[in-house]
Amino acid sequence: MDGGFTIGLWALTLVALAAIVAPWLAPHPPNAQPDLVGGRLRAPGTTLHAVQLRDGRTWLADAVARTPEGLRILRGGTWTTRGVDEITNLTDDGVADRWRYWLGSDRFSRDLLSRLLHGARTSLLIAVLSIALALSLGLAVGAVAALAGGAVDALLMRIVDGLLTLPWLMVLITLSALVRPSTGTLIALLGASGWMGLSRIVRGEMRGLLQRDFVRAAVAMGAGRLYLLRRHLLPHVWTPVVISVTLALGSVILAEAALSFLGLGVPPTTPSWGGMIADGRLDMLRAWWVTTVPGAALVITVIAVNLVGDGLRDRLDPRRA
Amino acid sequence: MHAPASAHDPRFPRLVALLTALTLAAALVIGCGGATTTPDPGAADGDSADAAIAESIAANAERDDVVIAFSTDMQGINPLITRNTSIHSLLSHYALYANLLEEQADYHEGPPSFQPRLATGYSFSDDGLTLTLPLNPDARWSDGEPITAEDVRWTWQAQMHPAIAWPYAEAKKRIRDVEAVDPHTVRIHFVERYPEQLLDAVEGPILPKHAWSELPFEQWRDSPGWFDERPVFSGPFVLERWVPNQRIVLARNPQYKLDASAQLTRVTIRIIPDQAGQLAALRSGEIDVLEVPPPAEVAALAAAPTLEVLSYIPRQFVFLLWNTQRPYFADAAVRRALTQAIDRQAIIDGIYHGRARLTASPYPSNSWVYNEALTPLGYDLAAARAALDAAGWRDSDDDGVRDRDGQPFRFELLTNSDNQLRMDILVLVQNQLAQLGIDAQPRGIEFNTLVQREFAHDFDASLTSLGIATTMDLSFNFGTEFIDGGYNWGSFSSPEVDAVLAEIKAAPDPAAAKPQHDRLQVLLQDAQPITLLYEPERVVVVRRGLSGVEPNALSTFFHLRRWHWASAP
Amino acid sequence: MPWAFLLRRLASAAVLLLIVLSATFALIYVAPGDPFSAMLLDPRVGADAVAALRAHYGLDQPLVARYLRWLVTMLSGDWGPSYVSGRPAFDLLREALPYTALLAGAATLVQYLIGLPLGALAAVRADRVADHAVRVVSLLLYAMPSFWLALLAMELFTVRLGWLPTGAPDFPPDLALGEQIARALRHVALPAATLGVALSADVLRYTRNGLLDVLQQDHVRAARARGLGARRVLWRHALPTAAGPLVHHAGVQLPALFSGVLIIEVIFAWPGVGRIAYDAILSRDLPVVLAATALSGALVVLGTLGADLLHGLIDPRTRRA
Repeated sequence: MDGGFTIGLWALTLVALAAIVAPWLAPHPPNAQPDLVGGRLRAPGTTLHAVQLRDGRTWLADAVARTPEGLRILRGGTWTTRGVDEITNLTDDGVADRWRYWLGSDRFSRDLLSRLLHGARTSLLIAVLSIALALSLGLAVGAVAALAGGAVDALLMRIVDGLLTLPWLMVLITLSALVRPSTGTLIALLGASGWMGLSRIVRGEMRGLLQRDFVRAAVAMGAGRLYLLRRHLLPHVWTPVVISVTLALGSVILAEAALSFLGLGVPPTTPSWGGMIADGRLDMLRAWWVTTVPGAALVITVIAVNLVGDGLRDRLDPRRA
Repeated sequence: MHAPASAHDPRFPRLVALLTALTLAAALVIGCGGATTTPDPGAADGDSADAAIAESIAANAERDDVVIAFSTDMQGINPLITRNTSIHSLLSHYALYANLLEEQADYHEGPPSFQPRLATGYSFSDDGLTLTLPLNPDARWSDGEPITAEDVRWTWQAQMHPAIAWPYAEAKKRIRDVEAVDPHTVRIHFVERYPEQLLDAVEGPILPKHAWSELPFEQWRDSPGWFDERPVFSGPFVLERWVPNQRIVLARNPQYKLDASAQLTRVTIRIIPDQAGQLAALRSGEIDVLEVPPPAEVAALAAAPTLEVLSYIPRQFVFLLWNTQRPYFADAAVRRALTQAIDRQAIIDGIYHGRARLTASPYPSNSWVYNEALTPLGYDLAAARAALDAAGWRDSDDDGVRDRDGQPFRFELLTNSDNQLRMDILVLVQNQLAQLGIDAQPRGIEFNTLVQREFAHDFDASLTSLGIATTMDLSFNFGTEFIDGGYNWGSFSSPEVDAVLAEIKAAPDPAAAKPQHDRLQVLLQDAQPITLLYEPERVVVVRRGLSGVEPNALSTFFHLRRWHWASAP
Repeated sequence: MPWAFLLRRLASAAVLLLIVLSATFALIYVAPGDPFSAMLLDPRVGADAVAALRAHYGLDQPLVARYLRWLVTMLSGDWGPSYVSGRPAFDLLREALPYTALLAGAATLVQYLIGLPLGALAAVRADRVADHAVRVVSLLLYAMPSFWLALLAMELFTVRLGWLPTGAPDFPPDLALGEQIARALRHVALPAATLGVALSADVLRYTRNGLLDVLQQDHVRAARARGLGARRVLWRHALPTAAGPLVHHAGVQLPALFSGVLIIEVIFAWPGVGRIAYDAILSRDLPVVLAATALSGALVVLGTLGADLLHGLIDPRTRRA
């Protein structure tokens, strides 16, 4: 067995599994904001005392001290006192509840672990589907251009040039007024805007291949275009395709956050990896974990996809089997 | 050359080890960053802190220049054809040009008063239709020419010219004529008598006729560059150099004689679009003044011995705007319930780090029109629930969202996505309303799109803010006649409010309308056309030792000419 | 023959640009918001003045009339005045272009200085430690948003160490040429290094994978079989062949480079073209948006054309063909 491929596959399976069982695995609801003052930007591994107040609010305290009259509470750097009748979960030596941040919290006191798990669902779904869309479009256009050549090739490539030239920010602003944001729209947008570069690469590679002796020989022997495509061309564009897909994964997940800026992405409350990374920007220098936690998840996924892609190439490539 | 590659590698786990190591290294780098960014408050205690501050002041004592950060550039030197952005307010009122009179920031006691600038004083005729302004005979343009009544008259003609389309031309609508009686006397004739006559008369800086009258008014709009080649100023500073999108360098104007010359010899404005870039420039010492840093950073900045944090209450109110045309926002009782259900103190503490106050009035709390007797609606979930139940909004289908007549209480809550603090507030509000069974769906959209949708009443609810002119006129915001074309975006309409607004407008003396202003605020509190979230506090960070900075609701750069560096203690 | 080809390509490019510009024109027309309505947020600004402004720039005219007027003036070489500042749109871009060119050029230099040698190293040492390290680093760089690197670099080199300034160099009058160059280098160092490092991942991957593929190809094997030294094979045969996709990538990358420049320009307060185009889009400043689109479109077209031409010159296979 091939080590890299196995590791990659395992990692991907784990990530996918985590996404699926997120609601059962996550320790807190992804949007729970227990207490901004006491719980914001807490480092991974922090455990806090959860003081339940009678008016329905929760206070997260670094430390509590029980007094006969009530409770002294260290919250957000200052000590305050609350009476016995103001707290619902009082015990003899403090309060009954704890709030644990395994991977730290963001500036809304939301639990990063829970958001990471829930975010995997949003981000992976969007990434996989939009990349599949971009990949199909890119491969189709690239292959048709390379095989047809001549006027068709020229026309297709000029269309690609045109699309690359369009000011996409303007396109998106206009679209934001015309379409309602939804996961479907988001996937369509990301897919439709992401295939141009790939189609050029595919076309370039295939045209190069068509010049090669082994392909020429096949053509001379009367091989059909579909046969050529399947037997000689597609296997050889696997490398650039794998690179493109691996790289697209990272950029699609980050782009989804950029689209939120225009009101086209996921709403700010829906957890997504891209949103979490972009959101952490403001707190980056004060709380490294806010961007690093989703960032690490993204890196691990990207690397896993890359390993699997490389492994698949080795299996598919006739010369390396 | 080794054999062709194969991805099979028995030592592959190394990759995993390497990845772990790299991630850890990256985390450590940032971690260190985090540790030192927030200065240790303990270190700032007592004598050592005083010594650090004294040292910081001493380090700047010899300086005669200041560097200010702005996020957008100016568009040119001619104030009539530039946009009404904050940088132009600084340049045209406090740096490059002078008005006839200067509006003062004494709105605490009553309507604003005016101090002499180009004019040494003013007097109204008995019928109140004619305003006479004697000009300061020492006033000179930066090229040495005297500033005369002809300049004032010509400036008014330019201000009124349709091809110039000066944004503030509205202020001059009720002026019939500006007469140059003699070189040093101006007479302004009004068509009627009204409260803001003086404010309107002195609106806009006076421009140099001798330098700029060559170019016909019709060509002004398309020739901003023409004025750059004829730089003539009347303010305490002149423009020395302008590198577009980068920096604006102002130098002391030696011809300025209206009062003492500017104390600084040079003011540089750096254009830094990004907040992170601005903060880095402030902390590395590249800039001395920064407006509105992120609230989360203010405590750390205040603790730095080299910096000082100033603040003031701006003329601005921040609110959730309810579109009263939507069935769920039509009822005042429901709107009150929404206000009670939103924990505004949590927004102030959690997002503004305490740098804001609860308020019940759109007026600044330190202004003369503010109603001291009013207290904001409290945070009261039980009352909010009861009110919603009473209004018929119950969760009849048990889906967690209240509904009435088959319509769920679900709406889109918009704001402009370039403002991160507002986006953050939406996240909180969504969470708070969800506890009540109200499904607010937050969505950030691009600023211009939001503005257009608000003017078109094409929204459910939005988080937005508006400025108040020093005339303290709220009719644009809540008057029925301003539903079309005004800022009454929520289409709020109340005969009582309209009547009070009309009484305020009709008062011959603005100060006499105080009881009506008080009543207006009570009416708004009851009707809750908007939910006021907080009264903002505008923070300005300056380098220690910079003195004479008096930021107020007119401008952060009020009296820029008096700014100077303190001598070493 | 090549001249005819070149002329045909340039002619079709001109048509393409015109189509893209017309599409952009229509997009802005449909987009919500206009350049002047935000002015009304100031309570002292009158609606009459705003209406007069709209009339001055012909925004009250029907779409077709506006389009034709724009087309005629544009074809005579005048891009019209900016709606925001009244200055000629073309001048705004011309002032900013040298800054962007300096930044993009320096960043490209950094990108290839890092990417090429590391990519070659990874390919030659395929599947050894050096290769894995290089690959992981490149994936890390990919998944890392550029703001992250930019903010860290700024925190370290500007705030902590105080070595490098932010913003563009200031050239007061009478500055000696030597000092001007020194300042330009000092100021461009940080943004260019950040952007170059972020983009080097691309070059690195393409170099490595291209070389790996090539090293197994017939003519390289043949060269090796002829007894040529490893170094000679690498430099004379393998690298030029692998350069094909790389050159393609460089051409395709031009637009990506310019969009990558934007974030860096904003964070480091660099007065370049990206910022002007971005601001213009957000303020619906039609003439500036169109001029900027034309500029970036010309770059895309020239980039592709250059890539196609260079590809023919470098790749030994097409050379033989």
